Amino acid sequence: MILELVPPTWLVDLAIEENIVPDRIFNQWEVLSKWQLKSLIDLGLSSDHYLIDVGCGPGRLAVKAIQYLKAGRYYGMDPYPPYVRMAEKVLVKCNIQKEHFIIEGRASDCDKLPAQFQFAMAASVFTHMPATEIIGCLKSLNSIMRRGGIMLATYVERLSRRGILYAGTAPMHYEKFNAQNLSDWADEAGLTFEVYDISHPTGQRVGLFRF
Amino acid sequence: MACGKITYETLTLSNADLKDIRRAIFHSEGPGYFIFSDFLNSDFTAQISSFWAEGSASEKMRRFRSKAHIRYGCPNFYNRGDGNNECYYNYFWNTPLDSASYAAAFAATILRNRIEGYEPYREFFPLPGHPTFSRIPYSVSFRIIISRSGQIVVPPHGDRDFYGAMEPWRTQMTLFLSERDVDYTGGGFFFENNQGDKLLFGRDIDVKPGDLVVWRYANIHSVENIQSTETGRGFMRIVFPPERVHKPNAFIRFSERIMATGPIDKLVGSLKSTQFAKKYLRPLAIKLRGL
Repeated sequence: MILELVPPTWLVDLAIEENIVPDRIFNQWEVLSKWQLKSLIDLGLSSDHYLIDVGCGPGRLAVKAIQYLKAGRYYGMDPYPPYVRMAEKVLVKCNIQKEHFIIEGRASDCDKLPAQFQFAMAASVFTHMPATEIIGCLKSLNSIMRRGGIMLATYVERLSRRGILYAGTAPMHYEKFNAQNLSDWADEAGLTFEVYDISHPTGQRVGLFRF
Repeated sequence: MACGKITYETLTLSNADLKDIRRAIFHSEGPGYFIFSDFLNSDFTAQISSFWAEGSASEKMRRFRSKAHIRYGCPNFYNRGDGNNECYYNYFWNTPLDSASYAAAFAATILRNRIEGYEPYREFFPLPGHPTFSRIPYSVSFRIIISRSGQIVVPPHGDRDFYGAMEPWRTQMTLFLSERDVDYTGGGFFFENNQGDKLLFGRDIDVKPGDLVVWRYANIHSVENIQSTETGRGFMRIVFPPERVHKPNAFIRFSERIMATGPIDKLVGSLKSTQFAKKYLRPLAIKLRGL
């Protein structure tokens, strides 16, 4: 159980040390990480496969996925250095010593990774990325995903584009999101997209990109 | 004129400026609170405390009945309890009764929003459908509270979210308007720090009128054992709870319209014609008007 090793109060401390505002999602780590790994396994992820966790954040999926996969098969990537540092601390706290890779980098730089992946995860990542970056990420992934590879992505359906201030300070956009937009972006990157009709703990929609 | 550079960040506080404050409040090694000493100067503080202590503000407010009456556009409310204790519930959508109170509450709310990592304008108005706020619409009700006597004024508790979950990332604020051992004696505002020690503001923690304390609201806190001194002010403070803003329902709208348009006032006026009306019906109507 992640909750026993990294309780929300410990995550709050870790976040504060990086001057990251504590997040209400800390209350849902156990549920969300379980859901993430189970969804991938249901799609066919086995311990032999390689997994790329796009926007891995402070290591929520990493904790479970590294334990499940064989050594050296988990790659996490996040552009925000404090999250990368937090993820490494979380893994130390959970006493996870199996080989893994957590790399600071943008989603559109995935093609620089030295591996070929069968599975990818983008949980609550596309939800706050502009369309150009999402397309860049898909194109970049297309060069490192094996044929037949699958990326599971969560998103929130929105009727219009919204400008937000992430954590109250960082300007970014919530794109207009529906299955048609995602399909169009997938098409532009040379992939296919389909809605994956499963429930999500926080009510997000789920889609699959096939490579 | 010497003037530092003014930018959006200086007006709304940058993340870098907030690091030590967040650490004090949220980190398990911090005390669980941060005191903004002299948040208000003495003139400002005196204006606010004298305005509300005088007691006539309730003439422009409605009596508080239940939280179900809190909806966007509702009037400000007041409540008088046992022991001459008073509470004034103010909302940002109403014209201020006291500009100093409103301005101080406005500034404090921006400060809390930034400490909690939100846009500076959160919880002034309900804003349903906002992409980064709670799906349940909340607004701050800045409450001026005057506690003059009582053993357990606010029972010990830790606040939770609407669904009952712990929220170690949310804060409450107390703007002190009176002073322990000057305006009240006995206890006061008790707070369990992040290490589990029960502390009393004004005795274990130095605090004075005009200081704003931002504290983690999941921690156990209470107001106990208050006895006002001869200044009569008691324990006077402003707190800033975010309250759920309800959709108006037909019954509440009707009852507010009845109160606002004054038919009961007219009834009271007309019930002087006979001894029976004067003796029995008029007091009843006056009571009804006060509801």
